[in-house]
Amino acid sequence: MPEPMPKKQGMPRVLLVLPMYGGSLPVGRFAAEGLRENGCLVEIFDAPAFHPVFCALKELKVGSERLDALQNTFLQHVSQCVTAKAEAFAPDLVLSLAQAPLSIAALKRLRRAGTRTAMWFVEDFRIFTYWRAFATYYDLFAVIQKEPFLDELAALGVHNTLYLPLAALPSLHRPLTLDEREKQEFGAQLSFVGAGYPNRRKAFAGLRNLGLKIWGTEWDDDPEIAPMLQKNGERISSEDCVRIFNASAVNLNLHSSVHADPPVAPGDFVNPRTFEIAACGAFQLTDRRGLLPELYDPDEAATFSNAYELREKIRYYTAHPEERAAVAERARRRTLAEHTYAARMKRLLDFAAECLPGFGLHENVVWPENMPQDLGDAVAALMRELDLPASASFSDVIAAVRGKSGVLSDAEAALLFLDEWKKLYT
Amino acid sequence: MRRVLVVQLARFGDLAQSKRLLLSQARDAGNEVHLCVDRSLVPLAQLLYPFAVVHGLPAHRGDSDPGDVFAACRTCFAALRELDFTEVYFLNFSPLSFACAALFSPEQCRGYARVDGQDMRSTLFSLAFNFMCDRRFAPVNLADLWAFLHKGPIAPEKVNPPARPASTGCIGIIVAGRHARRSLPPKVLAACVQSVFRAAGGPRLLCLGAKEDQPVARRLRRELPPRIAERMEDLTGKTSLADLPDILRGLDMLLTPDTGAMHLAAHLGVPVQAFFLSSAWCFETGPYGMGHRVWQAARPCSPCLESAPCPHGTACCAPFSHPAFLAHLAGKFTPEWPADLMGCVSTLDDFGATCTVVDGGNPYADAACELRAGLAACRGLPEADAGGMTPHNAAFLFREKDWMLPGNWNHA
Repeated sequence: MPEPMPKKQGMPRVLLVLPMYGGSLPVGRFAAEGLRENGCLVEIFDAPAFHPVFCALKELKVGSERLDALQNTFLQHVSQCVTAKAEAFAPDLVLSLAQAPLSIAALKRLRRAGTRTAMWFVEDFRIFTYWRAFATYYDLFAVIQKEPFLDELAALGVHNTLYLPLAALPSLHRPLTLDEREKQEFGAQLSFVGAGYPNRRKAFAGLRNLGLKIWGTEWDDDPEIAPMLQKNGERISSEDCVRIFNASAVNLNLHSSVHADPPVAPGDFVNPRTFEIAACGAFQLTDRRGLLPELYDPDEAATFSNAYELREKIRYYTAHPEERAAVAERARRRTLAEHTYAARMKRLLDFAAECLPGFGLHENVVWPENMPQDLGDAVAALMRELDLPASASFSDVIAAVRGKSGVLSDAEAALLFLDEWKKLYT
Repeated sequence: MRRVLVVQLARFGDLAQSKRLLLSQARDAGNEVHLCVDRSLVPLAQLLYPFAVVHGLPAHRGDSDPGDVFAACRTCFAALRELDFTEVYFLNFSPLSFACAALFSPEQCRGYARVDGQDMRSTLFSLAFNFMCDRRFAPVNLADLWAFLHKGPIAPEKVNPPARPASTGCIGIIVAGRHARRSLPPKVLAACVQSVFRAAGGPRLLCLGAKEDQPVARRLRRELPPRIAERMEDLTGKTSLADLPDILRGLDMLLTPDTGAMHLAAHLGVPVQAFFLSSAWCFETGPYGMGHRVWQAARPCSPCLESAPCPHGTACCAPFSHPAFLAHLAGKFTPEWPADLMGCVSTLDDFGATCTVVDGGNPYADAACELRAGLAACRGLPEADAGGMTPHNAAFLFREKDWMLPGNWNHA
């Protein structure tokens, strides 16, 4: 009779549920990298793959009531896909990004099954208010704003709350050496990347004479902006954003507002672009935000608080390239030290360990003692190939192998076979 | 040359039931047939299918440790991959089978496959899962279902020889199957043995089984009258699986539950009298070939789920003690017949093997026949008439998604 394999803690497993679309989608993908950098085994629920179905529903041209019902059914179905994935992957944590398709029924089901859930609500709580209905169904609620949001969550009975600002992904957001063609295509004295919110339209309308180039969507119906708009207002990929940041002398960063007045409105949270431009070692002029000073010191961030100051600072920094470089370098150092997705995910995992009893202490089958040489060599090679740390348990390796596509190697298939054999007989 | 591999990782009985598929592969010109089984079954597989190259995997519990399982498995997988099979047939809906399927591309796989990490059933097996939701109407023998993975399987009559006694005056008794609930208790079995003993004019009895069956064999002996007990030789635990074919060849008849030995007897043409109860259902796993007898318990709860506890005190055993049945077994005419029991004869049609009820009634016969015709229509066989796909069949054999959504994976 074979002895059961010993058990101990292995890699934390996180099922990351992306939203179907929108601004928090890239944040989710970057968070996955951050989790991997923290030694997590990450599975991504690729909700954007379901987005075409949602679009097709909108093309039906049926009554609005019927469309509502169909969309709700669709959401429930996608939510069931998430719970099925959770059952198969057995994660320590299901981490949802804002607007991830996870219904209350699905959250209840996950809770009944003992699966821990967390939300990283990377949206403005004043605009996206659906958190009021959902927050209590998550075991942990991370947000990018402080008061009064945290108080309001507490009033709902949500106490496992965490202020977790956005961040940069240094493997993507980094200084680049651009060739001439790229400089030509992406370069500018003054640039902005982002969607055409009303306040931005108003703020940027008069900046044409300063050489502003605008990149991004939702600008195309504005005649004042049109001459500045690049690439016909196409969506800009994350990679091209990095090229633009690197190729621009001054990167504008104006947080969005649905109101045109004032164009530079007071606000608290700090957007991802702030960290991304900084991580690129590029210079940015950003509007002053309530939570910015605790993230960057004054000599690490050049700011403005109104349209007049914006123009003045553009002129000043355009004329002082050494100051631009110094600010940018300090901002980059601070970002790499404190504001990476790896750091954010470490904070999230540490917080989960603090406030969720037993978090991460799942039982993981580890390797048999006196592992035969053949098995040991194969496993070591496999772990290198799968980029798994030496601490990975048998269960971790199996989960990683199960996540692979295509035909498996002899060793991988033999490990899967061993796993199934073990479940059957030990 | 085309190399084909059949992966059969289940038990002895399943290995024997893979015969029609294996023979069909062997018949095709240019085929080199390989068979992968649990390593304990390699010698038997070589005996049953001498034309096949047999590979062994540590699929069953055995006395292996995990390191040994991994090493043996990896060696076997490396060898299988090297052989570059044109087609690989997976017959078992089991995690071990799916792990093995991960070695091969979906284009190579038949039956089951692992497509980009997702376990998939073929269209045929999806269909089978649909109709198996209500096993009472089972339209096809498992051996035929597996054979239909081949586009043109050999004729059913070419699978096993008709049942013919060896005329040695010797009857074999398999005292128990792997699942206790599917076997007659010793007292009930003893009464049946007495009747058969009487009908056969006092033959020699050979009690067969593994070492763990010895206590049951001893209880059976105690339940028999001395004059019959003294004619019984207990071979339980004294023979190996490899000895079994030679022993069976010397029998006039084998009394058995639904076991691997029963399928081996059918393979050899040794007449079988099989007792099917509990989860055993002869329309699915009855002996393949002409002229075997099956006594099938047919309570409203039959066939049940073996893994669920029986809430009826295994009442499906009762008909096997009924005086009318025992008289029938002893060869006496009696107009009575116990309720909840079907007396069947194994038969063949163009589609495959089946059991024809000749004693008692089969309330499910019409529905099963209709499904069988429908299944034949799905297979495109000549005996399928245009009406094979009746509305009832369409609803029973297929789920709505089968009609409307693209197949997951386009291989039989």
